[in-house]
Amino acid sequence: MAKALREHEETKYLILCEGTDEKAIIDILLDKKKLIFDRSDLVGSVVYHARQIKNPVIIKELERFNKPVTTFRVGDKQSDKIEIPSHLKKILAQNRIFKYCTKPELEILLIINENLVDKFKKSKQSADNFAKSNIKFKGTSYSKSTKFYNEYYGGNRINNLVSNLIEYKRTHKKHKKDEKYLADLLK
Amino acid sequence: MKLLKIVANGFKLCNDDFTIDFIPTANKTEDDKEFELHEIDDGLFVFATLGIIGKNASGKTMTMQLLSLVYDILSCYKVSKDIFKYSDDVNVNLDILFYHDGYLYRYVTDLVEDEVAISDRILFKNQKLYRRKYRKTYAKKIFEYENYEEMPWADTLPLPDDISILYFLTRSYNSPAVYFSSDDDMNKDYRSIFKIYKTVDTKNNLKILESILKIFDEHIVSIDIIDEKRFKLIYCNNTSKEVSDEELYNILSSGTTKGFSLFSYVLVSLLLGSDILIDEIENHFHKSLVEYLIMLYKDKSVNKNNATIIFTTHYCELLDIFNRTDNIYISKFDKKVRLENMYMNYKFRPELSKSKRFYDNTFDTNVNYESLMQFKRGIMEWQKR
Repeated sequence: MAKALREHEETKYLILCEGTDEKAIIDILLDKKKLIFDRSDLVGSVVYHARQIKNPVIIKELERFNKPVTTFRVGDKQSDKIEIPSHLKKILAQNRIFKYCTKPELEILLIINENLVDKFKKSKQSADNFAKSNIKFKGTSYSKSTKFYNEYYGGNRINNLVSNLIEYKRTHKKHKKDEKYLADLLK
Repeated sequence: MKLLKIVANGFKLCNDDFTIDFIPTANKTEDDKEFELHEIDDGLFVFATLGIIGKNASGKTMTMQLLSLVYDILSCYKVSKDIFKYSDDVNVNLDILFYHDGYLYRYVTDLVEDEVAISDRILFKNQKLYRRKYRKTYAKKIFEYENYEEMPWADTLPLPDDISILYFLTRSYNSPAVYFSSDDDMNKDYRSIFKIYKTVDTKNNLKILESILKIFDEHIVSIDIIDEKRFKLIYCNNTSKEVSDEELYNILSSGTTKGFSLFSYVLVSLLLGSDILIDEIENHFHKSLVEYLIMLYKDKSVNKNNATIIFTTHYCELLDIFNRTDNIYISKFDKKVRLENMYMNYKFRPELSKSKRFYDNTFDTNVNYESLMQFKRGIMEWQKR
């Protein structure tokens, strides 16, 4: 899949995560070698927490690499379009930007893991608020923090994360045409 | 331990209340929290990078020496006379704010030369140490010193008077910073550099050393240490050569030697979370390498322990990789050396090109045009003779 998304074999991926929690999830998957790419395939060898390409750190890394890249955006809806700085248009192209969505919010993965999907649907709460009031791990209630995700899906619980991503794809068929699933990036 | 602010009086040619601040004063965006700042406690942020720019003889190195002196006090509780050269018999006074282990500390001291003729000691006088437990609600009030309590034991226990009372705080050597001067002698000290690898690379596979060498000299695969004064160079064509440290210095290019040395200290800094001070960061290096070095400190994947890079430079283009302006100081020397903060003194949007502002001479840092022309005309006149 990853190779199919690459234009050239020597290209790299730019991974932009909408939030720090999405970044934590991708980092966990990378560290456990569950994805179809590894850090050496990434621009800057890292996953970025950024919605747009504005920060000099990302811009400099792209300039340094100076070859066309494939961009994966990770978040929920991602309705805003990436604005590509004019001098980077040879490196970044709109048709090489792909959205990987987890809707309505990333917390849906935790909800799936806890078998609380039906209760969540009935609650009419946001996934974030529902998780805060219904999910605990090792005595700690869910809080929107990378620490929680790292502990929740760390160690052997990586298998839960992989299963949750697959289950999310199986049960959320209503993605728009341009919205891909994180499960597509699993090995 | 993390330095938050220094106010110095009487240090060399620095002006009164010479201040270096590591705490952001401008707004903090989510982007800044990702790349530009470290959150060392809940809501307490410090800079990941701090740049000091100015023309020649504007006091950049002096500023680094002051920082080095302060870090010496924090790490080994002493001041070296080499770096401590004050002006006009005025005592140096330091007012240092730092964070350590959940507390904010304010340390105030005078530094005076020992009057004994043969002594090279610098003495601590009138020392005071105050502290306050840090809480998130204090994040915007950390300079309200009236709320700090003086630590009662500070002046009661006997210590040699050339040892700071900060010894009582940590009691063991700690390493809040590494100072990398522009002096080449530091780079020649290969044995000290190899000690770094013994510390950080206990399996001694030296893979990281090889990766450093590869950046600077593609012909060399590795350098092994044979004994105190002999090294073995291994080339990529599988040949090797045994050399003394002096020969090694002559064989390697100056860029490789400095790169090997500097990047080794960077490695320590990033692993331990020690700040690094680099005078004239552009010295010997390609601009893209310098940018890469600075960006390592903005990258939380490698800078996990909140190390800060503090550097001086003449190259304003380097500042374009800064997304803030409050972590940029412009050093100037008229009657005294003074620092201007780019945010406080020249408010403009951080996303605008800083280098363009320098070339426009917004900060009054351009090299004097008439001096350059005078030199050129001098050459022409000399040639006419």
